[in-house]
Amino acid sequence: MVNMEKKKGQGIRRGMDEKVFRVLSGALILLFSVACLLPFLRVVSEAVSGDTAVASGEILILPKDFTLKQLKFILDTPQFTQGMWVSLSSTVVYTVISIVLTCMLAYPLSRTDLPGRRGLMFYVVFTMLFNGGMVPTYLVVKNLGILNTFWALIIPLAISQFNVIVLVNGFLGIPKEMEESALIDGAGQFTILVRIMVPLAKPTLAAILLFYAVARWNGWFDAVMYVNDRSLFPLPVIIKDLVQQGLNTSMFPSLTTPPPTQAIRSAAVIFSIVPIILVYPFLQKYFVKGVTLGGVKG
Amino acid sequence: MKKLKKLFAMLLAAALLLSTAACTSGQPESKAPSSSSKASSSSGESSSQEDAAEPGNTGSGAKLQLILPSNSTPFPDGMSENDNFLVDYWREKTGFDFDIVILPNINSAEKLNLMFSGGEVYGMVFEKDFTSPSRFHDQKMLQPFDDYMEGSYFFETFKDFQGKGQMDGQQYAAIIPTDGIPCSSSLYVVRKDILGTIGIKEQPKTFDDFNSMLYDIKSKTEMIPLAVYEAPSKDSWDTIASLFGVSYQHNAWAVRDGNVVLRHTMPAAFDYLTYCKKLYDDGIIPKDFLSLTSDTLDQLYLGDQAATIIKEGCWGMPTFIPASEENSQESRFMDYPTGYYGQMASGFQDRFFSQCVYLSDSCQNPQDYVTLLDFLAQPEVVKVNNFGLEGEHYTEDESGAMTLTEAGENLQWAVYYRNIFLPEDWYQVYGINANWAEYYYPTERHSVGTTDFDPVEFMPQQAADVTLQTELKETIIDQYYAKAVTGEVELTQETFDAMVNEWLDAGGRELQEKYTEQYKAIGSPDYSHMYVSYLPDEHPGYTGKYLWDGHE
Repeated sequence: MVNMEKKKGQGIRRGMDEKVFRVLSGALILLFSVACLLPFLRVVSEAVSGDTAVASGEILILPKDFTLKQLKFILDTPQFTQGMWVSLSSTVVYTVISIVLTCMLAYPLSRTDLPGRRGLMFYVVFTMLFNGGMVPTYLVVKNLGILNTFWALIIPLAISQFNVIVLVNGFLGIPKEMEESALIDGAGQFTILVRIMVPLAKPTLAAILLFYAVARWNGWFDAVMYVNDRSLFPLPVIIKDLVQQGLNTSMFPSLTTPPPTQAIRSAAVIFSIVPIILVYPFLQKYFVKGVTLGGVKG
Repeated sequence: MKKLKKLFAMLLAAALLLSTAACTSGQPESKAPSSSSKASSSSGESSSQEDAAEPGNTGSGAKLQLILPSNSTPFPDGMSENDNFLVDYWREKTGFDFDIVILPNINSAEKLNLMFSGGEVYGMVFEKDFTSPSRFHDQKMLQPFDDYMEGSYFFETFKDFQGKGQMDGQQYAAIIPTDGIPCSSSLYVVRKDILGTIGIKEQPKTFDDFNSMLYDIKSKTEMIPLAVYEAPSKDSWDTIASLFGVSYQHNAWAVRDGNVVLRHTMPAAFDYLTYCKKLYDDGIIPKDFLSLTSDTLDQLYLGDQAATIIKEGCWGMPTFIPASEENSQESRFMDYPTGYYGQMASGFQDRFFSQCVYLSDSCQNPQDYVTLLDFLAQPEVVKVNNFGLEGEHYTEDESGAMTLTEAGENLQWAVYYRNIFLPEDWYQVYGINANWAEYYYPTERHSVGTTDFDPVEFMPQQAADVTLQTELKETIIDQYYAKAVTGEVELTQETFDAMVNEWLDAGGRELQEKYTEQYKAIGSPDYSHMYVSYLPDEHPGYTGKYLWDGHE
C-alpha cells in the first residue's frame, strides 16, 4: 500500500513536472514569437503612420496618424511596379526551372546502383562548400551570353546543391519496392521519376520549392552584378537602394530629391514581403515534413 | 483530377512563356566599340570588342562606352540611359554613338571591379571615388591621357586640378572640379522656441556663450542640451571639433610648420577630447551617444527630447525641417560661435573635385574620348546637360535668370549626365531648381574664409594609403576617442600621447612622411585662396528663413 502510494505520488510529481515544463516552454516560445513579431509589427505600423510621427520616434507597435499615402506612393512609383513584375516573373521562371533541374539531378543520384554515384555526390558536395568566386562566375555568365539579360537572374543559380541533397534524401526515403513494381510493369526511368517519385516526394519538393522561391525573391546581389539595365532590376535591389538612401545622411552630391522618409522605407519593405507571406501558408503544411523527410535519410 | 493537373500545367507553361517574353524585351543592344586612333588588335580584347561594329572615324559613328556614377533617380517611362534627348544631343553634335552604363547605387565598386576583370570595360569611366584610378592602375587596367592632352580644351580649362590624377608621372585620371559649392560643413540645429522660453534670445557668439546656453538648457529644461552620436572622432561631432580647430569631417589632414599632419593627433585634439568628456560627465550630451544613430538622433530632436542637434550636412533637411515644423517646433540653424582659443571656428571644407575620369587599357580610340571630354566641357554643352534645351526646358531673360518650364522640372533623371559643372550651375540646378538653397547655404557660412586647408585633398590618392588610413582610424583613433570620453580609458596627456605614438608606429608615420614629401615636392602650395564664397549675395531667391537671425 505504501509502495503504491509512493508510486502514485511519484506519478503525480512527474505530471506536475511535465505541466511546469510545458508552461515554461510555452511561455518561452511565446516570448520568442513576440520578439520575432514585434519588429515586423513596428515596420507595418511605420508604413501606415504619418511621416512626422515616425520621424519623431513615436511608433512602437501601434500606428499613429494612420495614412495609406506611403503605400500609395510605392504603388504609384513605376520603379517599384516594374521591380515587382521582374521579381514575380523571375521567381516563377527560376523556381520552375530550378525544380525541374534539381529533380533531374537528384533522381539519378538517389539510385544506389548508379555507377560513379559516390564521385558525383562528392562533386555536388564539394561545389557546395567551395566555389570559383565572383570573377570566374562573372566570366561564365558573360561567356554564356546572358550578361545584362533576364536569364542572368535565372541560370547562374539555377541549381542549389543543398536542395539537391535534400531531394536525393527525399527520393531515398521512398521504398525501393515501388520502383521495382513499376519496372516490372514496364515503366522506364523517366516514367518512374514523373509518375512515382515526384508525386511521392511532394512534401520535399514543396520545401525546396519554397527555398528556391524565397531565395530568388530576396536575391539582389546577382542582379546588381550581372545586370546593367535598370528595367531588369528586381524589387530587392530597388528596396535596398531606397533604404541605403535613407541611411546616407552625409553628403550625397548628385541627389536631386530628399532622401526617403523612414515611413516610405517601411512601406517599401512591407510591399516586398507581402507575396511571400501570401504563399507561405499554402506550403507550410509540407514544409517541416519535407525538410525532415529529406534530412534524416542518409 | 487529371484535367485539373493538365490545366495547371498549361497555366504554368503560359505564365512561364509570358514572363520570359516580357522580361527579355529589356535586353540591350550588342556592344559595338570602334577604333580610330589605336591599333585594333590586342591579345587582351574582350568579347565585346570582338563583336565590334565597323570602325568609325572620330566623330563619325564610333561607339563610345561611358560608365557613369550611380544615383537613385529613375528614368521616366520610355526613356533609358542610352535613349533620351541628352544622349541624342551628344550623338547629333559629336557624331559618336554611345553605350552608356550607369553603375548601381549599391555595391558599385564591386560591380566596376567585376566589369574590369571580365573585360567589359572598353571605354571611359566617370567615378566619384578618387582611389579607383590608383587601384585599376596598379592592376595595369588603365592607359594614360598624356598622348592626347595637347590642345585639349578640357585639360587646358581644368589644368590647375590635374595633379591629383597623376600616377607614376603620367595622367591616368582626368580630374573634374567640384559639382557643388566647395565649402560646406556640419550644422547646429536648435530649438529657438525652447531657448526663448529659458531666456536665450540671441544666438551664442563666443565659446563661453555657447557653454552657457548648453548648461542653461540642462538646468532649466528636461531636454538633452546637445544630441550627438557615434565616436567623437567621427563626422557627427564636427561642429564641436571645429571649435578647437580640429574639424575633420571627410578630410583629416592639415599643414603645420610645413609638415602634413593628421588632425586627430594634433595637440588641440586633446583639448577637444577634454571638453567632450566634460560635456559627457555633466550630462550635456546623451550618455548612450555611442549606440545612437542618425535616425535615433532625429527622433530625440523631433520628439522634444533634445534642444540642439548636430546635423552632418544639409541633405536630410528638406524632410527634417518640415517634420519639425509640423511638430510646431521653431528650428533654426545656429552659427558657429568663436572657438575655444578665440579663433574663428571653421567647419570642414568640402572637396574641390567632383569626379575623376579614366580610360580602360582596352580602349581602342582614346583620342575620341578626349574629344568627347572637350565637347562635354564646352559651356553651351554644360548648360544643356544641366538645364536642358532653351525654350523646351527653361527660358532665360536678358539678365541671364533662368526659369524652368514644366518639362524642365522633370529633368531629375538628367543627374547622370551632369558630370561637369561649376558652382554657379550647382546653385541653379540644386539651389533654385531643386529648392536646396535654404538648406544648403547655411552650411556654407562656416567654411568660407578659412585658411586651414587639407593638402591631401589636392594630391593623387592611392587606394592602399586610404585603406591604411581608414584602418588605423577605426582601430586606434575611434576606439581611443570613444573610450576617453566615456571614461573607459583615463583621459590624460600620457594616454593621448600613447595613442598618437601607437598610430604613428602602426603606419601613420609613413603616411605623414609620404604626404609631407609629396606636398613639399609640389612646392608647398597654399590652397586657401580656393575657398571662395558662393554666399547668395547675387541670389535674391534665397531668403535665409531658417537662419537664427534670418538673411543678413
